Amino acid sequence: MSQASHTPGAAPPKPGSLLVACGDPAHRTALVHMLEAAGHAVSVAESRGPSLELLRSGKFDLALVDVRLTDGGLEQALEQLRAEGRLSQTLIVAISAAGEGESVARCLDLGATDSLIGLPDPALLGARLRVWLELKRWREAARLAEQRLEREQRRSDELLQIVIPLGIALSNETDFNQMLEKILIQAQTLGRADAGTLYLRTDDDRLKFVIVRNTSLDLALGGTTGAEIPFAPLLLHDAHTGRPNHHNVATHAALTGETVNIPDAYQAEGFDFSGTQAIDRDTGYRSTSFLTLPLKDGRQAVIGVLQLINALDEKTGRVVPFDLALHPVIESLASLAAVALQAYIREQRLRQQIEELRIEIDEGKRARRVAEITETEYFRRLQEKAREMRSAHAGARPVEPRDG
Amino acid sequence: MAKIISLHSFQQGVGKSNLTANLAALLAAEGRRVGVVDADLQSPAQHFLFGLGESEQRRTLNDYLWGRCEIVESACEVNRPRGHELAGRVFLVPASTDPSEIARALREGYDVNRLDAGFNQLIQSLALEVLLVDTHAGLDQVTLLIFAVSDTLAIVLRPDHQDYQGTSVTVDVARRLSVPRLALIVNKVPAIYNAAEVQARVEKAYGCEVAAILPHADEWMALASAGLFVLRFPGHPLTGRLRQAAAQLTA
Repeated sequence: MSQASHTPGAAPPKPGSLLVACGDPAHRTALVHMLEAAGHAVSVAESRGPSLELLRSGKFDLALVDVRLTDGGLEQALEQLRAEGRLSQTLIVAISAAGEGESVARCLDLGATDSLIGLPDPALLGARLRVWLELKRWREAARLAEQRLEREQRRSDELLQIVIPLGIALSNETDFNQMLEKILIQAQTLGRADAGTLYLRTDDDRLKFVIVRNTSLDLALGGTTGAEIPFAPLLLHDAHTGRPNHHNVATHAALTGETVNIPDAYQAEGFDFSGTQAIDRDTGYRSTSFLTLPLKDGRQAVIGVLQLINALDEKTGRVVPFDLALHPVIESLASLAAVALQAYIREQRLRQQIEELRIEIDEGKRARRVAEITETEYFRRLQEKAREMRSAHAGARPVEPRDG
Repeated sequence: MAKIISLHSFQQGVGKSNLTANLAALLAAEGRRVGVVDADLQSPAQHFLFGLGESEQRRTLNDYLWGRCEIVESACEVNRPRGHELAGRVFLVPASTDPSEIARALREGYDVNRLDAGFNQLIQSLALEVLLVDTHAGLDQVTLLIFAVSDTLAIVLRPDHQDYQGTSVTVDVARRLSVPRLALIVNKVPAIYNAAEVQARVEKAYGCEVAAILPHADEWMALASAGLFVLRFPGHPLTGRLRQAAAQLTA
């Protein structure tokens, strides 16, 4: 263990936050005295109920718990914590008097980290505490590393299983509304978002609502639904002053090209959410957390905005802020979506231009104009002369006449 | 088998004069003997395209038409247009840039028999294989005269509605003058258009041969009249298309 404490980068032993749960006042007071003298913060409990409450709080690094704790002892407390999935959050050391070896052994089997028999020598207690706290810190570091790994794993799974297949699906999508819906629905899935909006930038410098979806209100507007979206487009610049409109989070994201993460729109300052909140009042919905991303094409030009509303906690289903770790994955999705949209828009423009190539001739106008030219004495004479000259040339300057 | 090929367009600015000069240069580059007549008496351009200085112009088409000289005297050889060596020969009959001459041509017109005779003299005395005639845009009487003496009329148009309509009038009028061969050249076509698609549509709309679909090229626009594109950019795809057009029109 001394090896561990000397690992480069490991924190030196620090005072811990400790709990002493012991029914014996003399033993308890002596322990608390020794621990406080060593500089630790100590809380105390006398029986199993309050001890469990304190342990559940997860705020202690280490708990020294009497095996003979009233109302069931440490064994029952350990079983309960294990059932609740809270056993790993605090390091538990079983304390006992001499001759309680069997009970101590059972506690160690049930998840206690170590044991302390009787009242130890303060120096020995100090040394063991350093070891226990070091262990606690390593456990904590391992737990965080595991969480990070899980997140990375999830991100790579999402990239492989959602983002890349979506990119392929989008590039093959020929129906524009289907494409828009796929983008929004997949983004909602990735962000575990209850609601979302897709905006497209228009030629007249606005953000137009193209799809609006809200799962818990069972609402879907625009796209393949054919249902009109009753919200007016957002101006990117003030019509009179020409100033950029940074009031709305969507226009701000479009203007700056940056992702904006708002944990709670009802607490947020700097953006105008009055439009959303007016709708909230009508529907009884509460639009709380927002993740707003610009859709940038291959040249980094913003062609639209993707907005996710109300991230739902995976376990509880409660509305939570959007996870910052989500940004890179959902930004990748936004890039693929933008490229697919851009390709589609380009193709549409091309089709339109090909359509403009339609050669339409006003036959009435043509006939009138031709008559003006040909129904003249001059033209009749010219026709005659042309015939004469051509037949004269037939010998002198041989020409193969073609159908004229 | 000399041929008189006139280039015409319904509107100005379509690129007719430039195409005339470039086609002549391509034909001469292949070793042919080519004549170019600038019959656009109202807005002459050929002398400039071939790099002919004002002082070098002694006689013009105008002089021939008013009986001041023989047509051959008004022809000058431009074998090294702006320093480019050509294998064949180009003889240019320029038009006068003198405003009073321009005014007279507008006012009086000229005799169709004299023009026809002039073209034939030019072909015979200079042993020309091809005579290219640059005409004035629109359908005035002088232009109709040139239609009447042409073996081939190449109508240049841009893909826009006004040109589509105007070209339909030109095609109809040219047919009434029994022009033996009508060909269309679609110029300044946006690069995104599919050339085959444009060709099919134009052929169908006018029921006539299409000699070339020429894509818009920035280099062509930038060069403007300051030189001959095909000589300056011999490897450009547009030059390739023009070479095909020259071959098709003289076939």
